[in-house]
Amino acid sequence: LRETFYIAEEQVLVNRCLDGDEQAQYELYQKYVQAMYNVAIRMVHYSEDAEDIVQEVFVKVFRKLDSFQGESTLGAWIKKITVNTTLNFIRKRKHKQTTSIEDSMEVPVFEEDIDTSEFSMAQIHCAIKQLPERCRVVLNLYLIEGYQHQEIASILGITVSTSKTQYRRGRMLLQDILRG
Amino acid sequence: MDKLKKHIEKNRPALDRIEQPDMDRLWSNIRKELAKEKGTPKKGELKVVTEKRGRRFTLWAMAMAASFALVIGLGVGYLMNPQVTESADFNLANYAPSLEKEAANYRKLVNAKKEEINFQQLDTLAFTEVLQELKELDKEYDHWTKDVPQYVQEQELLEFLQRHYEQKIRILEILSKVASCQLSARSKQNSALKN
Repeated sequence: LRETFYIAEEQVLVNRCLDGDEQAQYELYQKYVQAMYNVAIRMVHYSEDAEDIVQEVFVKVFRKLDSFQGESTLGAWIKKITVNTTLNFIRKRKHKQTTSIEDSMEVPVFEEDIDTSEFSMAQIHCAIKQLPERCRVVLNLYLIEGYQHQEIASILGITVSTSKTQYRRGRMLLQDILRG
Repeated sequence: MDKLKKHIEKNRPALDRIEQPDMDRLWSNIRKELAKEKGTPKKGELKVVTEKRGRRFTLWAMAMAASFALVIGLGVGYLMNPQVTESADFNLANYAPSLEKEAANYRKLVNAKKEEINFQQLDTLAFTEVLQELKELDKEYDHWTKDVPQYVQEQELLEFLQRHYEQKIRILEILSKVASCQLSARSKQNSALKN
């Protein structure tokens, strides 16, 4: 029942936005901005870039709100747009880069995982941001955003096995960074 | 589940608070960007209601799923007569006189909107879904004012009434605009044919 009311509330908010109600747009913005910013900031380095992405996401959301079919929750729909926009941003920027440091980080091999529970979220956050791009994206999508390797493979246009490999690589590098 | 994933899930709120955007600047930029948009839906625009009817009012359809199915079964002919002026609700007045006063103010607005619409010349077939929505709203109103008062607080009922009438006024406003556009298009067409 709570879920029904939640969806109903969300629907009211969407309807108000569609009616051009600016207060409703602001409410929607406030409700999702932090979550969307988190998705972006964990995948790109700079806050300016993450803000640009979030701005683009919200403009898309308000522009395309009439195509929201209610098949998923509004949050899931916005998150999908955010992930896609962030990945597009990364792809575009990659084209501009002449050199890549992507594979220059050597992957350490540990016999067993370190106890990450002794590290704070801030330390883990900073460590994730230091990862090379490809494995940072996969690790974020799998570990934090809850995507499965199958979905990641489909979004990134890679194979499931590459997604798993990048994730393992990311995990190893993350532990290395955390160990200092 | 691996330890790292577990650790992150357990402390997710802390992780999500580490970096924060400049909320005001970001919103101001979004507004500027939206202002540039020519196609941004504005209040009362035709396409908002006509193209997205089914989805826009899913809320009410959900709330009244059972009655919705019944109405569909009975067909368009069963639709209410939307031009009928709304009168005092004795049931509500009996339960909560102050709420009935509030509702009376809203009803004046609703009736004024209804008067603006030329229902006689309205293409009811084209507006089947809109009229259906109004019917749904009325059914929901009946449900709330007849049965629900026994179980809900007055405040909750007041909030429902506000939502109900605001929704209804919004639908009628749009219907009025769309209907007048349709009529003027029809009259232009007629005069073109005569010439």
